[in-house]
Amino acid sequence: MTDPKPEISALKMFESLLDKDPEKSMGLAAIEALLEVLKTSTASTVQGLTKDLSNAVDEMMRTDRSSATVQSACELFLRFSSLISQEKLIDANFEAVKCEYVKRGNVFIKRIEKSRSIIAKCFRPFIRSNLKVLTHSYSKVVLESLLESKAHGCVFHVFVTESQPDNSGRRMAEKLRQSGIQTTLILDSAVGYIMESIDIVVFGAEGVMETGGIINKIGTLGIAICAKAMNKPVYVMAESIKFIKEYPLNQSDTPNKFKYRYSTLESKKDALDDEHPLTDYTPPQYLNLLITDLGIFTPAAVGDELIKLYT
Amino acid sequence: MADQVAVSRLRDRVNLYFHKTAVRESSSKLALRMLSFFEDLVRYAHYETAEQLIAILRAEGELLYAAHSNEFIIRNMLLVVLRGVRDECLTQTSGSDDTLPQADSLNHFQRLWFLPAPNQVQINSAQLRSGVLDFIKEMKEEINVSAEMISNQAGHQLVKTDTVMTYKLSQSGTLKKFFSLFRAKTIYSVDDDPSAPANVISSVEILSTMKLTTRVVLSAAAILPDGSVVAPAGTLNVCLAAKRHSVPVVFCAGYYKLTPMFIPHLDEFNVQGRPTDVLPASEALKFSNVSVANPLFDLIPAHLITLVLTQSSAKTPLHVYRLISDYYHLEDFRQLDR
Repeated sequence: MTDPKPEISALKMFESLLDKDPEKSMGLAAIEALLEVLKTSTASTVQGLTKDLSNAVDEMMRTDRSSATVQSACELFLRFSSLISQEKLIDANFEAVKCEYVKRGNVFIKRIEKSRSIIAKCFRPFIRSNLKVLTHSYSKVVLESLLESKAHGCVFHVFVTESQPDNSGRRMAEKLRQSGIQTTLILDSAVGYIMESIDIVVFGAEGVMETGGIINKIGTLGIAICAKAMNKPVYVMAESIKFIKEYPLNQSDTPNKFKYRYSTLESKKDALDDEHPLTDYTPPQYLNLLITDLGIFTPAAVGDELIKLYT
Repeated sequence: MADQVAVSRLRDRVNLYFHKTAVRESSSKLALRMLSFFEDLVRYAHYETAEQLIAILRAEGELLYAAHSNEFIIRNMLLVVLRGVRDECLTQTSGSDDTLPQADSLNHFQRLWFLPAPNQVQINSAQLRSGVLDFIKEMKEEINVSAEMISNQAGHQLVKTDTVMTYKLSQSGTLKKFFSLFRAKTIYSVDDDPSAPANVISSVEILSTMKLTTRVVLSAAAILPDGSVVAPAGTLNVCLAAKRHSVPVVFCAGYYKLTPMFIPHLDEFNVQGRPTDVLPASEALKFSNVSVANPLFDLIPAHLITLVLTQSSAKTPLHVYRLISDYYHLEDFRQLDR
């Protein structure tokens, strides 16, 4: 039985959600788009519905934004919504099943909306006054946590790397300055120079791997190694929807879809050697703690949590 | 209300306990006293449902911890009792002696991300009361035998011909028991008083003695989930010297010292002892421009530690976080207020 194409294009919806609100979490936008696809799907069987949803996910992976986040968010959303089907599948009324899916999807979204504020709250004890914080590139989670700490009266100095090729560190520095936080923009190459005066290093993440390592903007690995060499603590902030069930052992082990944007992969399929990867993988031995909305974990503990999410 | 009076009297009595003790008792005695406090609350407070009991315990426990916030053990014991209440609840609702299997993924997602649905099933409060009281009794028993059970593992960790170094042996009940049950050939105790049953050396001799040492056995004040340990001040020197000479470092602690909190800066929690222990009061005028600090604890980072011995297990610092979920319930330590 052929299922008609869903009327709403998931990719268009995803992009429009992010255009409307640039501060929205990417993972959240992905799962909201999926919920829309779910609501408007014309499938009449569970199998058809699942096919519609996986088609939508494939479509969204063709985005030039972070595909690691999109993949993990969508997979967790689908797992969560479909967990009911084992119990209610006996019910022949498909409309009721679909209603359950939508209901659970809404519950999930409501919870994920709170992720960033939970992380900000968890992070507060780590910031004291007169601390020098180093961060890399533009991360909405890190931004929100730093703003919250400032709002609670902490006075600290943030150093942000410029983060080429897209200069996203500059946006981060502007946002921080707007809220009155003392900020300094530094060159990517100046990290080694500045590290001796830094107190803590904070990263966001595009994806958290089963090893406990993270995928983040290129340059993260260098900063983490430098921090380790100079005994500075490294903290990573990531929402739980970014947990990915992959186990990379080194840089070449990480899938290409995480390293390059979709358009690059399409246009330069065979000549990737000339392309600069946009992300790198930081192994868990360079990270101290991961602060997520499920709690604070050591990198070793993340693997356990992931297994619980994905079983 | 009669039970309000009872609860406030219990509260007064436990606060008096803290004021009366001039010298801090050993951690195990403190843990037992805390368990007794919560036991009395369970016995005398008035509640119909498990939620109410949890609310009462939490209110009293958090109040006590706020008043004495340098004593982690207060909150650790609160979390143990709350775990007992939840387990008892679960046993009663499932109607069997085994708790629900952890592998139920629906429950897992539910618990991992959301508050569980409010307990619809009516619990028999008398049964709940007796179940929790039994649990607390078991936990007390476990504290009483913890030193012995740690010492029983000594045979696996040490041999008779080992040269062992420890820190302030005479001040730790756990270590005293450990070495009385296991006679190593040579024991060095750093910074101890001369009456200790070991060769007493001073801290300046740590590095030279470390060359002869084969094992370092120490006592922890608190164990944190990332594998780092809060230990009496001066222990950090021993651990660093051990790392220099590649000597394995073993920390012993009962389960009541497992603290589900990360401490990025110990300064916030460090207890200051009396300045007169460092600089006698008679010299105070001469040194009026000097600020005297006497921190009582050190934070030992996880990479300096080889093994953590609790009464039930021996774990590497990387895996200590698993013990936390053994003794405490996810719900309770997830959103802790510092």
